[in-house]
Amino acid sequence: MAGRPSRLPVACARACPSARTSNGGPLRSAFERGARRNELPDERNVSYNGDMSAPLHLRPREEQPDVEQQIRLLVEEGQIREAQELLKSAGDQVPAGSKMRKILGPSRVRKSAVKGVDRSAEFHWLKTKAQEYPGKWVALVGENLVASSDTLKELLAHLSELRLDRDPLIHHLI
Amino acid sequence: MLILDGEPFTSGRSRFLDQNPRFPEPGAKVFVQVKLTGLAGTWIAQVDTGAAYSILEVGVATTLGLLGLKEPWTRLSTRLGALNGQLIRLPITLVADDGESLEVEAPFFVSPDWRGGTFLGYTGLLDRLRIALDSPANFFYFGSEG
Repeated sequence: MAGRPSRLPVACARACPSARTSNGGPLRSAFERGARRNELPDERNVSYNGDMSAPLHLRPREEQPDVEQQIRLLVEEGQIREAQELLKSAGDQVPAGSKMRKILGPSRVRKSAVKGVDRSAEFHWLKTKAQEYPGKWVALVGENLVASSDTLKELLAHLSELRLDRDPLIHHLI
Repeated sequence: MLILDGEPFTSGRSRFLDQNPRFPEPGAKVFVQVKLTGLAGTWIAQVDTGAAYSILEVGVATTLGLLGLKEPWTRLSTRLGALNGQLIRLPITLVADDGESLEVEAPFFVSPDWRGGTFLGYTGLLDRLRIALDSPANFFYFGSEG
């Protein structure tokens, strides 16, 4: 979805601390000191306790995070949609076998041979009886509770011993 | 199943449960039936268009051996604070009572700290589907594009 790429530089800045010279590093501090003196942050007002004869610059290109790293950083920040957008626009900059491409690539949708049944009866049980089984895992067939347990592992073990005429509906009452 | 402008819009439908069984709230919810590859039975997941992520219930994730894999770490913001977890790719089937079921392979958040149920969120899952609700009848319609 368009309209959110403005957040991308945040991840870039985190991945490449030197890039913060434009929005949060020593230069910004100098700017703020200058602003406090009501002066423009021009060359005369920018102070820095390093070698001022050296020009301010970003790190060499090879130290910038590559696109895949940027995507990973966005994922780490929980910005999944932004990561997907960046992946989409990255083209072959992200290799086909990349983990990020595998996880975030377009979801696959296909028809399934699974045949469902109307679960109205199971839903009615859940609406009317669930309060009696707080915290339990339950397995229902129609309005019948066929198994319940504190753990899913136990429930599945119990179900494997039963002969049921149709697949149970399983739910954790949390 | 549903037709839009003379073309099929959805291909399957199922009844949905309109409240959390344990914690009924004034607002209606949409819980639908899903099938998880590798597990017997069918399961309930909450459809949540407001959720950025799809999330897998921790007991299910544990049973399927999906915790602690070498998958990317991420963070989920919840009402109870941020949770750290991992992103995995998981096939999940929306089970149709009528028509065709659909399998969607989508990114899911898994975390040992997650205390909620399974959610079908927008990014990567619902945004790949056509969905519609018949709220008076509690029918959930779904299909894929094309």
